[in-house]
Amino acid sequence: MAHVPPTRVSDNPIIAFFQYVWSAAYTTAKGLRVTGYNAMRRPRVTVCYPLEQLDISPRTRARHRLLTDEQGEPLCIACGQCQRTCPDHCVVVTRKKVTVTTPEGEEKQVNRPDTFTIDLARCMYCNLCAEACPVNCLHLTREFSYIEGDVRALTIDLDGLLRPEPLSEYELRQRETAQLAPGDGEEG
Amino acid sequence: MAERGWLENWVNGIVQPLYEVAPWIVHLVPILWILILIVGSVLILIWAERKVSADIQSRVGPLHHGPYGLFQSIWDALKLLTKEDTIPKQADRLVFCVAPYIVFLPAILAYVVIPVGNGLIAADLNVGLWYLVAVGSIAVLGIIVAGWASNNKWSLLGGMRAAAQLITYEIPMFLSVVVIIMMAGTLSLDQIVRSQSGGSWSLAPPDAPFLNWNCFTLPGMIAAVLYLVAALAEVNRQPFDLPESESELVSGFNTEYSGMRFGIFFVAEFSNTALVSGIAATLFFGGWSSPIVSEGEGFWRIFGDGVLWYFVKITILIYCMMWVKWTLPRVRIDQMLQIAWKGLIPLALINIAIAVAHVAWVGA
Repeated sequence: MAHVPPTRVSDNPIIAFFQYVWSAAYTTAKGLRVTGYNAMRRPRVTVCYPLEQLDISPRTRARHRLLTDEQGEPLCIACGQCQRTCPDHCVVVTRKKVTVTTPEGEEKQVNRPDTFTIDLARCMYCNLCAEACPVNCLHLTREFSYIEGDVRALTIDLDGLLRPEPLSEYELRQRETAQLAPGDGEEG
Repeated sequence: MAERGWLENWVNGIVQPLYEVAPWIVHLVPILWILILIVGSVLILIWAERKVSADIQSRVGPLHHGPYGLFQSIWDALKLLTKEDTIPKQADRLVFCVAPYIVFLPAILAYVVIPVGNGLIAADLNVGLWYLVAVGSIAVLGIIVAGWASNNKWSLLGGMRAAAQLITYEIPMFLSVVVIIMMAGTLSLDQIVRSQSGGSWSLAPPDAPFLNWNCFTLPGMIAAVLYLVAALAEVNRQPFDLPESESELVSGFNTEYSGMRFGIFFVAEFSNTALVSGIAATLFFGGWSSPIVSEGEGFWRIFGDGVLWYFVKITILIYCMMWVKWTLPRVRIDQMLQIAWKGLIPLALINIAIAVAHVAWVGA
């Protein structure tokens, strides 16, 4: 809206009265024009959220996910860095030994998570666990909608962290770096 | 028309025996008609209010109950009916319970004299306009009483504001209506509508003058604007919703009301909105008279004089009232009084002078 200079009010009371009436009518009409324009505007600004969604920022940090290799095995080495770094103490990892066959054909003992739980209700999505992860395997996805009727159901375990959905472009890139990271099982 | 004959037989078959047993049954017909009119218009208006506000704010509005959320207001009513109805401990119980109905009463009473269609009028009083003005001032009584009986300072403040506002705005409202009385020369609303009918946009010869609605004369035009502004204040709609003003007085006079008693205040607000636009349509915009053809043949019969045009006109007027509501912020109490005493009333008096000149030179 253009800036409107204040109306000069006449000294003559009769002229001032009509100026008053005119300014009332004029400003009302101006306001009606603005809202009338908005009423006809399509598409509308808001969307019907659960039915349609706007794109959310690619840097959104929400529900966690553990990356897997091409065979569907988790890349996590159960080092516990995420558990140690978590300011909210909402990550719990336990470890188990697993024998895997390397591409060269030799058998190798590696650490894998036995259980891996994250309490989403306590998590503040600070991303520190993902940054601490030495194999870039834990990260926070953009999936922000996970409503439960019971707060205890918000504690997700290994099954909840290994999502069946296909990896996004970002996650594929993340996995490349994950396999470049120092090899697993060094801790023994 | 063949259908009419069939319908007449059918109606006579049922109504005639009933009428012979109980002649007072004829009085139920207009009552039923008025109730259907009010309930129907309120249900649609609550939905429309939310859709129009959503439109203006670029939102979507109610969506899920029925097509375009049309049944939303039915769900709202059901919700209100099932809610707990609380009465404050210190309230004046009898007055507290009666107040919502006093606010609702004038809407029903006033519909008695509104001609919705050609001959479709519950009672054509020869003092119809006086009756309207007299009945219209009952609502304020209900609002003051509701504010007083709640024993709550916000309610009382709301009631007092309502008193100041409604008494103030009745003056420009009636002064603008006087102009119509002068031009039509009658107080009967049916006669006022008939004096405006017969014109059309098309100016088709031989006997079609341009629209002779009152709003196309200079005094009538000014009076229409004045009436609509005063009517906004009379029904407590924004920008004159000072009795409610939820940001200052919690909810004003209905703060302590809950459940269906609150619902009745709600219904009263919307039926009063429909009512004042109905009065405006009747007085200034030709009521049920058609702007296209007054009689019409074949297909055009639908667009002739009749109920359709009444509803088209009040729809447009109500849309404008909602448009204003979602455009202008609430005025302060001193501004509210200033608009009436320093703006509308002098204008209305000047307008009466214009009307005198109009009647003298142009003729009624």
